[in-house]
Amino acid sequence: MRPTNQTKKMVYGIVIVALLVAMVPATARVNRIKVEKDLGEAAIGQIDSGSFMMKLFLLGGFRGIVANYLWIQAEDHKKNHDWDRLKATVDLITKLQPHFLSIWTFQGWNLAYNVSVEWDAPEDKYDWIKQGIKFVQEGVRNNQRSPDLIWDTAWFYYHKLGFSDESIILRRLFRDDEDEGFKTYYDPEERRDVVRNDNFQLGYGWFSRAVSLVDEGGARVGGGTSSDITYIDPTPQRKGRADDIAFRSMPAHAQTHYAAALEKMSIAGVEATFGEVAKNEWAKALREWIKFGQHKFMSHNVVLRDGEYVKDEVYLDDATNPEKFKTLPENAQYWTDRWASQMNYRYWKERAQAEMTSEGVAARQSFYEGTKAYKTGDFATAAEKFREGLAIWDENLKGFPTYRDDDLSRKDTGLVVKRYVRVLRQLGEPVPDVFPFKDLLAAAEADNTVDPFDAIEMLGVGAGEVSSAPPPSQPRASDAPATRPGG
Amino acid sequence: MPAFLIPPLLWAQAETASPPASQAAQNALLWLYLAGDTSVAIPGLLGALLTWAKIIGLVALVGWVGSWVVTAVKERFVGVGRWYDYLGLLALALIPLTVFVQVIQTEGWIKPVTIAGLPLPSLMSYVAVLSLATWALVGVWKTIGPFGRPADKLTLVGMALALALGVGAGVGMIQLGMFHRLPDMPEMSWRDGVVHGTRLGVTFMGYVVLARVLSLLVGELFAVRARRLSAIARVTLYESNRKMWAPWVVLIVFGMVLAFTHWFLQPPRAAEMGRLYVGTLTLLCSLLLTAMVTILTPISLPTDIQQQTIYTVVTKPVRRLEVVWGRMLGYMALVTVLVALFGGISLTYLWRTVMGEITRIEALSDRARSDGREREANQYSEQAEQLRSRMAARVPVKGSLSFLDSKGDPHAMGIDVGQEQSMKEPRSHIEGATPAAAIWRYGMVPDPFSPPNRPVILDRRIDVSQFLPLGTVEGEENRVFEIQAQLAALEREKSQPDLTPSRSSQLDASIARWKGDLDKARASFEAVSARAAELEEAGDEAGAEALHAPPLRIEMTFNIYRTTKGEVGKPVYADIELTNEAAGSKFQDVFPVREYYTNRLLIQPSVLVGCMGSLRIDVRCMSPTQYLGMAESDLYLLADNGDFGWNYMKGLFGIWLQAMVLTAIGVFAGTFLSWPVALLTTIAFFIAGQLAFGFLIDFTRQAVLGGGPFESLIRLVTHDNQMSELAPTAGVVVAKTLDSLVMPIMSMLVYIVPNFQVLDVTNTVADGFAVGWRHMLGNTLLALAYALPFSIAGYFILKNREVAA
Repeated sequence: MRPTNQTKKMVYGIVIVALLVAMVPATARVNRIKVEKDLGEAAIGQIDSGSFMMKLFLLGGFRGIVANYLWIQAEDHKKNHDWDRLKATVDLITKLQPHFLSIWTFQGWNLAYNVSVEWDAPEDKYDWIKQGIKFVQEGVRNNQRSPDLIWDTAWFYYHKLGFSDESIILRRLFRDDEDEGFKTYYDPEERRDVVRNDNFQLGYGWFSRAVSLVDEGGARVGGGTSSDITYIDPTPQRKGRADDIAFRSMPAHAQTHYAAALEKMSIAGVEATFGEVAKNEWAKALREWIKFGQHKFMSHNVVLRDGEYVKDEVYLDDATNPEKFKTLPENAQYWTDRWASQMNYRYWKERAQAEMTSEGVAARQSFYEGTKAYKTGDFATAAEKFREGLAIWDENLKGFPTYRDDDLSRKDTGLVVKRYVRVLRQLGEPVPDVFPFKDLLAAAEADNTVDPFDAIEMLGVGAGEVSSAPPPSQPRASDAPATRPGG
Repeated sequence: MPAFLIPPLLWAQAETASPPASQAAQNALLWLYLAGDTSVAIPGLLGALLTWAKIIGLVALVGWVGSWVVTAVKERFVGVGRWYDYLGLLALALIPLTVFVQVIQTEGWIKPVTIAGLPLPSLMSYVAVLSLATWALVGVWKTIGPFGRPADKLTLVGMALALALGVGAGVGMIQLGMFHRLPDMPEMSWRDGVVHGTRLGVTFMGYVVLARVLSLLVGELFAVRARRLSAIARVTLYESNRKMWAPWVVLIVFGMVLAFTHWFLQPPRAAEMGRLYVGTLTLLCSLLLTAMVTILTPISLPTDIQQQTIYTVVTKPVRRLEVVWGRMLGYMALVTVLVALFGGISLTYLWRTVMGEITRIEALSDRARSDGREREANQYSEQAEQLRSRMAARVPVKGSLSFLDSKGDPHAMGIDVGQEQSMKEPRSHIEGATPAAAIWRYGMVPDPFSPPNRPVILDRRIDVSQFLPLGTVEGEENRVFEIQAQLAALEREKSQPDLTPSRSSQLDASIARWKGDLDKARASFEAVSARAAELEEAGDEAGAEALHAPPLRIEMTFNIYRTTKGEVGKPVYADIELTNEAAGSKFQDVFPVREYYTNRLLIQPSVLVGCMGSLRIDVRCMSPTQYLGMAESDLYLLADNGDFGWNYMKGLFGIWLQAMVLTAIGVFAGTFLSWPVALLTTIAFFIAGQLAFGFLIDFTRQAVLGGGPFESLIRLVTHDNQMSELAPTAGVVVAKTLDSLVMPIMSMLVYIVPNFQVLDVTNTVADGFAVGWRHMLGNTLLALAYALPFSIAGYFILKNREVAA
């Protein structure tokens, strides 16, 4: 007998229900794996419906092909200098592959570095760096367990904004940016989200976040399913491996740069800050360095000890503690010394120690004020400030021989000495036979470089903002009609 | 015979006539050559039409012969084992064999063989072509007798004559030595003439068949009635509406996507928001409409035939052409309504979001300014300004660009700094603080790329009345200048010594007339300027301004190439100088260049007064060691800002044209294929024309690296790169043979697949430039050139198909 229409419908209905029921355990299993691998959209408290819809309904199995096509198109847009279409295309790719870390890293870098450099005006560069940073931050939101992307975010704040040729202006733009979300980070000491106006502080916050995520055991080795796949050439986790010393030093670096930047006009048109604020920030820098120095690293090699092959524990801070250093086994001494030198740990720690003192800050303030007076032609004040500053600085550095003899420090102080001597000559006063740091004079005289991260050096005192007046054009015989105000 | 592919040489040859032939004969042969050789195309509308006719003619020829041969096979006139059928078989075997021999010769398996002075492959191909032609001829001959009308027999005679004409022309060209004295040309024999003449002849045969087809069509065309067309269109409309719910589905998807744009499109930088949104919206319209048309059109006819509803139509006195065109009309009516709806909705949407964004950015700018954040404030207002300028339909007036290098020597291009960039219109650079300059010239100017001894003159005159309207001070003053120039020209002519008396009196009259005009123009100029001065004195600034021409607007987009960082945060400066040589006025200014932004300059309009349409604009880079990059389109006078909404609809019209071509293809495919195959065919046409047209062109030019499909397959499988020579193994030789068989056929696709990309003008709209009427007219003609043949081919197929037998 042929089944009637009614029977057919019933059979179909039963099959549909059965399939739905069968899907329940499968879904549960898939959800569990999603959470394990940090691939779940719901795991992060929000569902990106656009991305989800696009993947599920519109593309299905064509996702890979479309993503490939978009990658090619993105490169074409880059070649044709169509930056905004590049950004739009890249955004689309991330909708398709939100858990593919390389897209965030690669294209975030592309936007913040490669695209921004193509634009001439610092405002536009800033716009693109911001787009790049926000892009990797979006990646962090999609991949909460990846230290790599957090580290990238921190690096863009720290390096791209802080170490570009236009840093003094970029940092000013960052300071003036009204977008508070862009200036927020989780402060590990205050244990809350804070809004800060200096990109080095943001760098510090995000570096700290990456480090603490690694400490909590967060790791995303390659893609989400890689444990089920045997790669011939596996992608290693780039940042936060157990022996990644440089990775752990970054919060301290960012904090140190912040403290140092406070004591000069490192933001165009913004005066330097001294006093308790500066002291506190240097103290914080010291804390960070000590924290880094007290982290346990394991030596790379193994030694035979008590019949067992063991690795030695290495603490970089021991390099600054001769008593303890002597008690270490030879192998540990070797690695402690090697890594401390590699990271220049002694210098950084001593620098923070020397700068955080009241004398250190006072000397820096004298140098700053002296330089301003020097640049504005007030030589009497300049001489006074330099003399005063050099004396305090000399006294202060007596306890910090490593810092005193460091090349960077010598260059810094040498510049002050050079200017002090010049000021004296201008005033017609004799150069004293003996004064602190006079030994640095010869080297400083031969050095003509200026500090690119100091607006006073680059743009002059008071020229916080660059004048936008055009240069005088050559006089021309011209019977030109008068210009109306252009626009 | 590579020289046949070099028409310029041929032209040059034609100029120096060879002694024995008369000029008329040479010209006739030249025209026969141009009309017959498919590989040459002359520029301009006439050339386009000629190429179109050649292709259509050849398609008609293949179709006509094919249909007769098919009938012959069906009626068992051929393919029954007679002597001529063996010829057909021989041709079938010889064609691949010929290609194979050719390939193994080039691969070096065998030495080139020559028989009676002819290379072996050529000989084989002649035999193959002759056998095939004989077989087809016998088939057509035998069928046309009982089945054909007198006109068909006439066509056959015409074809024979056309072939004879072609061969005659080919031989004639050799005999008259038209290729004779070309450099590096091997001695040509009469045989080459015959071969080439046959190629011409085939094209001429195509024309004959085309004429026959047109004669068949004329009657049908006159029988078409608007009433029946509209009835079928209406039915089609109802069908797509009721059965498929097509317009509703498309509208709902459009609305859905629009409502959730932020999911797919992150808010970009404000300056480019308009461009991105316009681009995305037009892409969406295009995707939805073409998808709808692609699905609807090929399904409708086959379903009707399958469900036998076609009976109710074809048993009525409805012409088959009406069935095809009515359907197209119906679909296009639907597309028109949807385009209008999409246009309205997306314009409202754009207006709301983009204008909202402009207001928001301007508010931010004001706040930043009041907080003393100058840099941010400027950045915001600049972005708002950029956004505003993109939401317009700017009409640029472009000059001709040439360069002076750093030593001041003239060049057609500037310095290539080695930057990777779009090669559509690459920018070249000038060095800062040197005599290097980029010069835009307006007027009748020599093309900088033409050789100096034979300059090609470009017409880049400025329509001054566009910028200086009559009734304004500057407009009237310009009129005075123009009349003076006219008078001067007349006076000059009059002072010529060999003037005839009649011409002299004519000139006197004109001079007197122009003098009268001059007085009037002077009077009105004085009146307007006095009035303007009066108003200005009275303090009525607005009134005085209304009497002046609007300021001249120049827009520029330069790029900057820095060799050193320069002073941090300091822009690169450019110097611009406008010279009106005719009236001797000048304007000069210095401005900071903002890279990737449209730099604007407002200039007193009086600089144009008396320029007679010519102007010279010099741009120099002022900052030492820096470079400024520009292409011709990077500087223009802005004639009009235009209306964005209207321009947007013009952009959508391009999509409408795409839909029209696609409809024609869909209906055409539906006339002879079952609906799934018809659907796939239409999709294939769309993808080939939209995404792969560039590839098709490369393919036809044999410019694809790595060989044809079969050779590529071998490279794919063996991981060989595209450049390396493949070892001539058996597999490679077979692959190359197959490629040589397939590639010529696939190359033909470029003539048949419509170039959908070129119909799409939405990029121009998104960039904020007006789409010109000439451009639109050209695109319409192009779309018709594709749509008409497809629909007519559909008609002939439907006519000969036994849909309701």
